[in-house]
Amino acid sequence: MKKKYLDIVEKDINETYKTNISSNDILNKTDYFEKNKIEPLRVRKWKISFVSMALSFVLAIFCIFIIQFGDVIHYVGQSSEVDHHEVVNECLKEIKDEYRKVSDDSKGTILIDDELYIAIYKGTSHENLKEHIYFYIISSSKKLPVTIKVNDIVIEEDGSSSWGVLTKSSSIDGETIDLEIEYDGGITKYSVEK
Amino acid sequence: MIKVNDEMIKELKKGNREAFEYIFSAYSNKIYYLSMKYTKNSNDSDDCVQEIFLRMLEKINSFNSRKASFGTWLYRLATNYLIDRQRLEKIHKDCLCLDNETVEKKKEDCNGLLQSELSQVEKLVGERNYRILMMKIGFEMSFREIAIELDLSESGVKRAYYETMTMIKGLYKKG
Repeated sequence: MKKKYLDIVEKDINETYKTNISSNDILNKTDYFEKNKIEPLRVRKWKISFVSMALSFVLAIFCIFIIQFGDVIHYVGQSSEVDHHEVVNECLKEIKDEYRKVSDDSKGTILIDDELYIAIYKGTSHENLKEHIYFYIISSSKKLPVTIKVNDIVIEEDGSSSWGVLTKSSSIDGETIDLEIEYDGGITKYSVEK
Repeated sequence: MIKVNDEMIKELKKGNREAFEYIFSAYSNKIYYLSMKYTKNSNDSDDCVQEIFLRMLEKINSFNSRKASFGTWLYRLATNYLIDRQRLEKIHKDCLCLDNETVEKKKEDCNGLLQSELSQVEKLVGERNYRILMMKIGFEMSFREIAIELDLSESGVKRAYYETMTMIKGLYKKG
């Protein structure tokens, strides 16, 4: 139908059937618009206060947890950062790939403050089976520099987990390997049986 | 012709006064027309317009545009109110109007509006066809919805509607 005829009908009804009621008459008799404006505000306020309370609660619990179990968190964090045994196993595999007769059992292990772990392993080279080679494996969680002094030889490591040859020896009878480890400002001496 | 769209209804649901004013201007006279058909009285019809729009605000959140158009929903809300009101009035009048003369007068009142009270188009096309026109154009109802409301066949409604439009066309061609 054409708009023209729609307008005719619209005009016809508006001329004949015209109410005396205005929209204001109805607006004055209803609280619909007040309700619909106040309620969302109330809900919003309630939501904000609920969120604030929930956040405060979580924050409070977190603070208590930190205060009470700070040391535990510290320890767990460090332990989870580097798994010393995993590092040692990986390095040992690499050593076995390059050298011969590398023992699965370490000659000795050194643990400093749960941060630095040094394991000493023994093996031989492919070229000279009579020569004993001692390896060190370093696993460090703090990545601080480590200095190992053995038989007047200085080995410096930057703190990352690694391995290397500690010393070589053709004889093992009654001898020890004397180590001096400098780490985090402290020097410690160790002796490992050959 | 003022059209009410879904956006307007959303705004009304949010509590937008302007949306209400717009919807009121689009439907108030149509609701008044319906009220006149039931009450035959302009004062009562004004009261009905007020009451129907207040009810509309009460129930607007239950309106679902997937089930029916806003016009159909409002038409049903209005007619349900008017029928209920008429029923209550009838009970009330039956209790009060004991003398035969008053009862007879009331019966005469119920026969319809006076010819002078009808609109120009309504006089031409007849009250029933005008109502179909109003439902179709004013409330944007489908032929099927109109047929259900008036208890007529859909084809009968269509025929009446197009006849009515032809008559209006003829009337305005004559000038």
